[in-house]
Amino acid sequence: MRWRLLPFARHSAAVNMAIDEAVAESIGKGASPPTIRFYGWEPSAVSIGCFQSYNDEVDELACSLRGVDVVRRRTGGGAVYHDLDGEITYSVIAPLELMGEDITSSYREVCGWVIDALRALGIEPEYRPINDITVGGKKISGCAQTRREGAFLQHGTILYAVDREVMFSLLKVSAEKLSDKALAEAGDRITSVSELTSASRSDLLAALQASFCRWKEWYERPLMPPERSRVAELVRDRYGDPAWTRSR
Amino acid sequence: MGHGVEVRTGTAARKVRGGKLLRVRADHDGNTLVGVAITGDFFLYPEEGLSVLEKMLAGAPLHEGDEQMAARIETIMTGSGIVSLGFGPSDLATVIREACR
Repeated sequence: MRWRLLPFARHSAAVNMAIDEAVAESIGKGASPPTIRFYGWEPSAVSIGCFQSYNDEVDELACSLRGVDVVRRRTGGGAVYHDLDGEITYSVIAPLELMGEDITSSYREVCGWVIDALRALGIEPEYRPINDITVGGKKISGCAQTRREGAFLQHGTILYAVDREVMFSLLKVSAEKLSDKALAEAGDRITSVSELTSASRSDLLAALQASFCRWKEWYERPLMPPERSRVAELVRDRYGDPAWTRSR
Repeated sequence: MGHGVEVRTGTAARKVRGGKLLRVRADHDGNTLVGVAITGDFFLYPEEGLSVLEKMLAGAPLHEGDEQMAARIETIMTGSGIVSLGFGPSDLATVIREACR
């Protein structure tokens, strides 16, 4: 089966999440090919997991003051700060039968592609089930997966450079509690590519593309017009709607 | 004037060992779970299943022990085709009990 690689692009949080869902829906109907995308967030954004409490996770005022978007994902997992320049996000969207019924083994498979990319940059990562990749015990990548209507979607981030102060001022977990010591401890549990190698962000993107596309027949092409129309609908009806983002 | 039963709200949270954070906000009258909201960074498939689970837990008696509550949760999840990652029925039963204390 031929995979489509969407060209790297930066979008708002609502558009990014709408693209994932629009492509997944279209794949579920047999109208789109399995798709890999790498993308950024402009402006920077916080995404929260499908089951998280908005009020428990997000410092709304801090996000507003910094012009940071907030969006609720369709996937579970935790709150993530997507810095404009500090990370690369990926999505793998495919017919369910292509990725298999077993949830944990498909997490492991796609995380393996991330691990191979990091290894190509000289980093020695480890897979930490369910959904983390660590280096020396510190998290460098996280992901979340959903399966609905015949489609598999896993999206995740790889940290390139971390501004810990900004990150933990937006995510309430630490902002509400905490002393500088706690902040330092939380910050010490994560790492990033730029702290471990001299690789540029472009090097990371190239390594990810090479790893994710390895052994696959693939071609690069943008979204098709029906997918783009559906993205606009999903931004209007779900991801751009504060009622969705604050629904828990 | 009738005697209204007072509904109280309690919350509890637990980081499941080797798993995810589970938070529960429970409305109860001391005998029965009136309503429950479950949040956290866990995974649950299909995602719509969480609302189903919350609705079906309303009315559960609180005098049962954790094992019975866990069995109730497991029955709902199995019957509704819900799969969780990051917590199990017994974890949720424990956090519900703590929230209703």
